[in-house]
This record gives sequence, C-alpha cells and structure tokens, in this order.
Amino acid sequence: MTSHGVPRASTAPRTAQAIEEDRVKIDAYNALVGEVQGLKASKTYTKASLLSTSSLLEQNPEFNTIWNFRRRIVLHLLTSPEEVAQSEGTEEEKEEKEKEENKLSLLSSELTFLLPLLQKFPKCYWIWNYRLFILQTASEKLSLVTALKLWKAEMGLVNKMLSRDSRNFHGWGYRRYLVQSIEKLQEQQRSEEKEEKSSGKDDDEEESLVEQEFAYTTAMYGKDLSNFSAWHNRSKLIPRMLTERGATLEERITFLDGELGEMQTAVYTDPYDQSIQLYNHWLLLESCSPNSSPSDTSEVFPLATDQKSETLLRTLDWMRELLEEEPECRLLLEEMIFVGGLLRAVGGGDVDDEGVRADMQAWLEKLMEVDPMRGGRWREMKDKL
Amino acid sequence: MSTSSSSVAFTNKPEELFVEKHVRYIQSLDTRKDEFEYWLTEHLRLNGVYWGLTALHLLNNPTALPRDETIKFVQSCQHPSGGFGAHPDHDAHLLYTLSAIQILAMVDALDSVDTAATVTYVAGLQKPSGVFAGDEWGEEDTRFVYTALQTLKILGRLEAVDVQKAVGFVLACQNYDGGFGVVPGAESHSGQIFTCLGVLSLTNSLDRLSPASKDQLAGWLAQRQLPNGGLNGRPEKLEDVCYSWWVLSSLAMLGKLHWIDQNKLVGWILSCQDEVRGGFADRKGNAVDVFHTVFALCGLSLVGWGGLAEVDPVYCMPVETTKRLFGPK
Repeated sequence: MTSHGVPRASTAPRTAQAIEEDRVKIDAYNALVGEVQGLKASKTYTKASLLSTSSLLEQNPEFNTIWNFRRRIVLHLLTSPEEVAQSEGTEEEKEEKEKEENKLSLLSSELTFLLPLLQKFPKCYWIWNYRLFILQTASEKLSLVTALKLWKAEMGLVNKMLSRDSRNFHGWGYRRYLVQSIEKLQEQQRSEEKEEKSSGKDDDEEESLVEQEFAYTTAMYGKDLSNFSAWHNRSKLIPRMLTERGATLEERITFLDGELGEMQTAVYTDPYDQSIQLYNHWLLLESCSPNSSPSDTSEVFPLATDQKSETLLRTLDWMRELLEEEPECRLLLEEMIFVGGLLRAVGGGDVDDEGVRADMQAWLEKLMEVDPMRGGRWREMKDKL
Repeated sequence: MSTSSSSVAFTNKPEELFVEKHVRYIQSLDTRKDEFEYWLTEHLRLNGVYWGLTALHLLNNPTALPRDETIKFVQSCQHPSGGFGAHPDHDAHLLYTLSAIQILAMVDALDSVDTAATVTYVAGLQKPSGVFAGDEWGEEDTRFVYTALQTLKILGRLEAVDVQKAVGFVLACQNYDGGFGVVPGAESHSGQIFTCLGVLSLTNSLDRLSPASKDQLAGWLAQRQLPNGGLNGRPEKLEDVCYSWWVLSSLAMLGKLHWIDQNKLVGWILSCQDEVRGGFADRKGNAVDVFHTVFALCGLSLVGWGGLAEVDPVYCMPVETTKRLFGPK
C-alpha cells in the first residue's frame, strides 16, 4: 500500500493461474495469521508461539502487532520457569549464573533472528524498534557487563548496514542511539566499580565515543563526499569533541581552518554537491555569525570580528576563483550570496560594504538566470538587498 | 499561511488529471481480496481508508465510499484504552488513532466513538521531555508529537497535555540547516519537517522560529526540487511523489510556495499517474498505491491546480473539514 520503486505490472488481466497461485498463498498466510492471533488472544507465551511469530514476521515484517506479541512472549520467557533451568540443590551462585546464561541465550537468539530480516528490509521501522527493545531488555535483565557486550557488538552490525547503504536514515539514527546507550552503560559500570573499590582510584578508561564517531564520519565522507548524513553527524559531534579535548582558543581556530580547507578542496571536487555546501554553511555559521563573541565560552569557534571578516573574505576569494571556472553553478552562487550576507553583517575595517552589496546583486541576477526554478526566492532576496 | 497560487501560469490542462479513473481506483481498493498484497497490508487498513477518503474529498467525490460502513469499520478498530489499531485485532498506536479521528472528522461522525477515552490514551503517551511515544512500547519520534497533537486539536482537547513541552521538544529537533529530525541530533528530513511545522502551526507557535531560520528552512526545502520538477526528501536523493506533500505543505506553512517551480511540479506529478487504471505511483512507470495517490492529489490541490477541492497544509484534510472544525482562518 506504500510501495516504492516497484515497476508497474502489465495492464493485461491476471490469468486464472495467477489468481489461483495467489489464492494458495493467501490461504496459507491467513491460516498462519489466524494461528498467531489465536495464540496472542489466549496469551500463550511459549517458545512454540515464538516460532510461529517468526514464520509470520519473516513473511510480513510490517505486521507491528505481531512484533508486540513477540515482545510479550520474550518478557514472559525471561521470567518463566520453562526458561530458567531447574537447579535444585545447587548453590545459589551457580543457579544465578545459569539463569543469566539462559536469559542471554534467549536475547542473543532474538538478535540473530533479526539479522537476515534487517538486511532484507533495511527501511522497516518495526524491525529496528524491536531490535532496540531486545537490547533495552538486556540492559534491564542482564548483568551490566553482559549487556554492555551485546550493545557494543551492535556497532559491527550498524557498520555493516551503513556500508551497504551509507544514507540509511534508520542506520544513522540507530548508530547515535547505540553510542548514547554504550556511553551511559560504561559510565554506570565505572561508578559501580568505583563504589566497589571505594579507593577513589581513577582509571583513565575512555567513556566517550566521540573521537571514534568523528573518525567514522571522516572515513564515510572519504568514501563518498556526497554523504549528507555523515556531514550532519560531524556537525553534531564537533562541539562536544572540542570540549572534551579541552581545546584552547588557538586549537579551535586551527581545527576550524583545517575543516574549512577540507571544504575548499571538497567544493572544488564537486561544486554541485549540496551536502558539502550545507556542512560548509554550518562551519561559517558557527564561526562567523555577527552576534557571537570570543568571550562567550559556549561558542564552538570563538572568533573576533577581524578574524571573522578575514575568514569570510578568504572564503569568498577562492569561491570567486572557482566561479570563473563554473560561472553557471547555482549552488556556488547561492553560497557566495550567503557568505557575502554574513560579511556585510559582520563588517570590520577591511570590508567594502558597497562593493560586496554590488557583487551580491550581480550574483543574484546570475542566479535568476541559471536557476529559474527558485526564481521566486532570488527575486525576494534581491528586493531585500 | 499558504499563499495564493493564482499568479502561476500552469501549462497542464485540467483534463490531464484522470479524475474518474482515480475515483474508481480508490473504490476498488477493498475489492482486491484475491490479491496477496491486500492481506499483507492489513496493518495499514485504517490509514488506507483515511488516504482514500481524503483523496476522494479532493477529487470532489466525498461520498464515493459508503459512510456507514466507514464509520462501522473505524468503530471496530477502537480499543478499550481509547486508542485505535489498523484493523480489529491489531494493537493500538498513535499512527492509527489519528487516522481514525481524521476519518470521523471528515464524515462528521466524531460522536460515534468514545473520544474521551481517546484523549486519555493520547495524553498517557506524553513523556517528561514533551515528546510522545507511538504506543505503550515507547518509540519516540517527532511524528508522534504531530499525530498526538492533531488528534487532540480535532477533539478540542489540546489542554489535556503539556503543549509547551511538546513544542519545546520539537524546537530542540531543529538543525542548523533549518530542518528537523526524528529526535534531537537527528538529520533533517522532509517528512519530519512537515510534522514539526505542523506541530508549531496547530499550536500557533510558528513565531518561535526566527525569521532567519524560517528562510534557511524554506531555502533547504526549495532545494528539494530537482531539474525534472519532482521533489526529494533529503539532499542527493531521488524524487518521490509523497514529497509533493511533505515538502510542499511545509513551504505552504512557511508562506513560500512561490520559492519553487509549481508549474513544473504539476507536470511531474501528473506523469506519475497510471493513465489506464488510475492511481499515482512514487515515480513515473511504477506501481500505484493509495498512499502516493493521496499525496499526489494533495500536492496538486495545494498549488491550486486542476479544480481540486482545497487541502489544508497543516492537517492534511480538506479545508472544508478544518473550517467546520476550527472555523475560518
């Protein structure tokens, strides 16, 4: 009912054979639905029920009600005697260990069950959600160490999913959620360890994954510059990373210059790519907005007015050069108008305001010519100039 | 709000829209029980009724589905909790609850279900951060803030939840590019932008966005138009008919429909029709479905083309319905 990319079937009426084939499929499918709905209605939370839901979900992973039933089965099995080994007469400790192993085995087999489904249906919300539910359940029901292992192993899965489709929206969201959860569990683990030792000994084990995640975005755009998802994530990681590094003003500016330099190379490589343009936009907004000031410690790149206008002038210089090679590039023209606007707002001694305004006017006129689709926007901008 | 499109000179003629075929296509949807696909999509049945009914209203054929049967079906999907499932025997979720309430609003039959229970159900899903979970299992997403608040707004019970917190959550999802994501920190996506602007519009909070960020967002949305006239959902992705709604309604809420080439968009949407059997596909030549059919028609309606009934960009229902519910704008 929400098909994407499915070719249109021929307009010829379906043959009797095709209808019959569908009928056989429908009958088998409906029989299975009837069976599973019956188990759900009678609250039959057993391993056998779990297997029935597997067959149905493999055919139709969009059937969210069945995922919910499966959740109830799993929660029940985690606490039921059927699952927990009977170990009368053994020591308490051994019993606990067996319980933990049984729980782990159930939750691990759930994760394994989902793997082929995720690969086949990488955009199905319900599968991703169910996978998170299993991990969250692991955090609640297993020891911290065991749960943390499961969460960490997920990074391998998400790497694989994103290497198959580097823009998968679900994959990136899942990745951010994993990182948050792992960091939280690691922090919890560390505070528990501290309590146990009660010696106040401070080990230097790294809790934050921000450097690792930043490196991942570098690797992803290294493979394909046109990855808006990677650039977006990079923009979200940088503020935190610089804070955690304890970066000084000077180090921040060096970092900014490095990123801006990368952008110059990237835009030269593909001036028609929006994802690069948007990231460049972010860098300039964070560093060269007129209202920011170096005394504000919440600033990511705290520049003084002269540094801002110098950065913007430098950016405009290379953009002008590129424009000579690519005079019709609408993205470049749009970016130059954005930089010009920032420059006029920032001001500063070396800025020829009237000259920049005249340039912007010329760029807007060119834009109206090369980008008539968005003409309404460019006309409005020109009127405001 | 949405700016008048009378100034746009359209090159496509109204007769290029196959109204009769689309009506018949939608009417045929519940007679396809000999197709496997029909059974595989049971989890969308209630949404499907909402999509089909909205499409029929826009095609000026609001009574083409039997009203009594429609109401009975919606009633059969309500749970004692007050929420709705996609079909009897399916679990309740906000995604279906909004569709149920929208259907009843369109056929003017809100009193045929226990709406007090629905309000309790929806209110129970708000989290301390202001976001809503989709159902009892707790997935959080800006889509659910929209579905929750629109449901309550239709029922006249917005005060049953913490609206300011919900708005605060939505604002925390805005990115530097002006767009909005699923949760704070997530990348901008046109579908999510529609739901977030929808929340801000229906709570009269659009002015919480600065003029600069509105312009930035409208610029990002205008970039979604590709040379063939179609719209995509994120940078460097393919065009798809459903974005004729998510992107276009967002531009309308920002008053910037004229920032894209509406004429070219109309031509592109029309190219996605199945000229023989009716309905619209995601792209030219692909299989049609009722989801893409309604959003194609919504797009055409929003730019004022083809003599379609007017659609409300905030609620995705006919303006006739929202006027009856909320009075004229």
